Amino acid sequence: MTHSNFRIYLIAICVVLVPVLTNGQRVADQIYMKLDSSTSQCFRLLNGTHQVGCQSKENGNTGIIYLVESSAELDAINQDSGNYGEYIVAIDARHFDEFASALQRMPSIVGVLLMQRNSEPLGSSGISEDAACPNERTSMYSEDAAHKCDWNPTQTAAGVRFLDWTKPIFLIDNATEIDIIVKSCWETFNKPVDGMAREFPVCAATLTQFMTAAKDAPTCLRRQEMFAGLSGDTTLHLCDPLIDENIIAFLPPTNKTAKQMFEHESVFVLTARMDSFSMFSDRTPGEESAISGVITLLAVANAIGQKREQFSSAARQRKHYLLFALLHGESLDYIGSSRMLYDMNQTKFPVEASSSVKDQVDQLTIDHIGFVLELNQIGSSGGEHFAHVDGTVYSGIKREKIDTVLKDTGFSLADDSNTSRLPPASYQQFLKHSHSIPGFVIGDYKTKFNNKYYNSFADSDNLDAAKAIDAITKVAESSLKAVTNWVANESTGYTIDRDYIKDLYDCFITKKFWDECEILKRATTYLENKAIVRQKTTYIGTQGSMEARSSPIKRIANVLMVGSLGEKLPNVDTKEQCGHLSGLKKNNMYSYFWQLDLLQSDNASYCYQSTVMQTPAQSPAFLIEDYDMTSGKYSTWVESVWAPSVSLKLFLRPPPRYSLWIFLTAMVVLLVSMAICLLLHRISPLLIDAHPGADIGDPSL
Amino acid sequence: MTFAEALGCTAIAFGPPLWVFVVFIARDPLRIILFVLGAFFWLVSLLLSSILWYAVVPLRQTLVFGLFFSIAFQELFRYLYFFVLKRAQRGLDKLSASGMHIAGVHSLKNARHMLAVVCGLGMGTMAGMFLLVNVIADFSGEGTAGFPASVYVANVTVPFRGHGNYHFCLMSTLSAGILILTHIAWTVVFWDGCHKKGSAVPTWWVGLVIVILSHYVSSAISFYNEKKMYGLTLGVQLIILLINWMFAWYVMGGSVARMKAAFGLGPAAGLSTPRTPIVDETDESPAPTHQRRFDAHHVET
Repeated sequence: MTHSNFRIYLIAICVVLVPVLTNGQRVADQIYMKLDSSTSQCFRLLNGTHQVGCQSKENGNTGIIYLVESSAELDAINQDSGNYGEYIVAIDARHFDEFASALQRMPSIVGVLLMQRNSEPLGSSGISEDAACPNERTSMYSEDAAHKCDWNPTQTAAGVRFLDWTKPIFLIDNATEIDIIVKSCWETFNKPVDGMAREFPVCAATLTQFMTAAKDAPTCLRRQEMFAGLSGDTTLHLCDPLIDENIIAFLPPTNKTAKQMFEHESVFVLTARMDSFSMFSDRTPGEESAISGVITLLAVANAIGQKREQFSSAARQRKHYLLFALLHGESLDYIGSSRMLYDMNQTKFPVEASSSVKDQVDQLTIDHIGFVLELNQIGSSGGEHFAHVDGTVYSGIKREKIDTVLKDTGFSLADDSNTSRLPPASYQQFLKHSHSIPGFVIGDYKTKFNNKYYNSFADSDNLDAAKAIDAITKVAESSLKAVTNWVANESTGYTIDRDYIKDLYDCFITKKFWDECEILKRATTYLENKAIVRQKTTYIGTQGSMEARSSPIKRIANVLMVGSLGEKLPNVDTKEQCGHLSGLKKNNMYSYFWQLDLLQSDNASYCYQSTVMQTPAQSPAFLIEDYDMTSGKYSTWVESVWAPSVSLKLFLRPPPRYSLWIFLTAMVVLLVSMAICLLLHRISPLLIDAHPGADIGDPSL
Repeated sequence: MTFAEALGCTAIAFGPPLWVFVVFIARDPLRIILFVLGAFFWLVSLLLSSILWYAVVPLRQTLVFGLFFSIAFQELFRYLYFFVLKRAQRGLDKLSASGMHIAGVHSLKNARHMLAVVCGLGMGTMAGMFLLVNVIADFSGEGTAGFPASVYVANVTVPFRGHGNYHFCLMSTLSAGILILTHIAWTVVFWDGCHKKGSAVPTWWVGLVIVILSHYVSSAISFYNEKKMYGLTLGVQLIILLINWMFAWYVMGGSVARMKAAFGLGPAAGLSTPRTPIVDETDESPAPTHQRRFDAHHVET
């Protein structure tokens, strides 16, 4: 409806004889109330065999609002004493984990409104959306039947995120909207009085979020291909594979021309994952799940970057190398690490050998790797940290190597028996390829995660800042010591900058948006789509166009890594010149980024030459031709596209019989008016004067 | 509201006018044309109201202002329609006077009240349609009015204008139905007044005053809907409907005696026996005389 048309409609409504309506408003405004401050809706993911997550019917799911606080309300819904039929459950986030499987199972519940007041802490209940055994399918122990894996304390063993809800879930954190749902809707119209269900009209809601993908990833991808084949429209998407990039950096760089190459077991890998997930695409803060490890790794990188020359020359003498790896998509079946290992096997890591480039990096393969140290959940206020090893590796010939590093770090083993199992960690992917790589995972937990919000929308504001900063500093110092000892055979001269950790913690975790602090504000200066980059999201996501939509955490971490490990090039004065350097292809050892000096406060920008690179974080499942998507070897997650018409509206629903009553009345009216008209037609010659002109004397009117 | 309810509301509002159309209008092509023309005239009056409303920016939010001029334009166009018809009739008179038979001329000439009924129904139908169409469209979803009005929360401004009960749609429907039928009576009475002015009857203005006044009253009373006094609104509108129909019946020559006669309760004596049934000239059976007269015409030509 065009603007002018709408005006005419309006005036018709306003002005014509029965102005039951008010000026400027449609009747619909008196019927429906849209709640639109929330943009968080549970969406659908699909893997090789299943669909998980949520969706509504195409026109939305409608039900009567029912507030669930205990199992009593669930019983009431089961009995349906008000004859409401279908229900939309409103539930406080604190009770969600407890009732999740019941909400998912009950067919009369057609939608869920998850309410989380920002001001209220979630309390001790905890919500993890991940399974009790995260990443079980792609775990190195997936075929080990005796393995009891329950790292993640959650009440829904399969993981709330991995249930096939087939109903929409909207997350609402706006206090006003929560009040509307609880007070204006539930308490006013629906809450039973003295145990009796309320009479109609009752308050109902329609949740609309329709997903275009269904069944499983192969089905969806096949349909997508068929559509594209039929219509030639390649822009039509039903689902997209999850994809982003890992950030890696070698120190010192290799150079095949200068015969600086990797040797057997010469590389120390320091890794952390930078992603988390949630049912709600923009609610993936991942503070403890991912960011705590990222900050620790960045702090180590920063400390080594301060003494880059010294570290590099010492390492070169020993022909040892350090590889920083911030991996992406690890929480969804190890997307980043499995791709990295796949590329290593293809000798394409970090890049394929090329004949056109003069100074080339050496290709890293699995047998070059000498040690893997993984940082996984550091900040929880428990205080103690543990090293986790795989019992088989630890009881083998590599035990001594592990013990050496362990001694440097000062951490004790969570379990030193030969039945010890690794927690879900990228290190498992290394071991899947070669079961003799020594290494361990550092975490703030022993047998179960301390983090009650592992991979969930609620993994936010739960850490105690002072204790977390202490913990991160401690782990960073230990890791730094292990790294420098192993790679450069130096244990002194490197210091962790506690202020840097504090700054990063403040930026990444304390602040509401990532660009609200000095260092990240400077870091994001040259990034595109600032409005997106500042959002606290760590979900890997899909890619339409790689650069514009890649995840904020990756783009920011990249800038920070470059700032720590890079070298300011003199004589390069403009962004264009700096970009030109990357295009020259004289070498592929270095990348060039134009950015501010993060540790200074002036506006001077520099061209940084660094070994920081991005390698693809896309599951090999989508590369390998005729890959069996059901095999469970690689991650097969794809994200469903959803229809843009996402909405949540509240309204009153009249008694179901009312419309029948109206309809019957209408039929009576039709019959009676027909009878009257026919009667009038018959008797009208008698009833009125047939010669209207006669009384005036003018037959022509 | 369900589809059944939307259908029901539509049927309640437009059922009676539909039967008037079927029984009195549909058989005569000329009447159908005049019916559509009536609807068109009402639309033009709406267009003028809209332009005025759009032009006078400061008064856009003042409902009374728009209401006043909308009704004024509607009555103006009721008169214009009468004026145009009269001109058309004069031209047709000349043609038929010269001895030619033109189909439909008779109904234009000799059944002016019937014309008013036809044209009034056209105007009323369009008015009712504009009144109801958005209401029905908005109500065809699952909800009924009331929830936004019941929300009193800071930061959410939903002005309390609603009705808070699910009879809202039915009330609008009944209002629209009454409006359509009232338009018929209004046109009959209004045109009768215009006609009498042309014939220099001294009381010609009475009908016009009644129509315009009752039009304003029936609109103004609907302001009480905001106070949820549907009973009052509908009651007054129904009374206005009845008054106007009584008056229309009177100007058509109705009387108690005729009423009795029509229902077989009193003698038809003393009343002039109708030579033509004014409501349906094309219906042959009850009016053999009339048919004969046309035949005579035929023979003459």
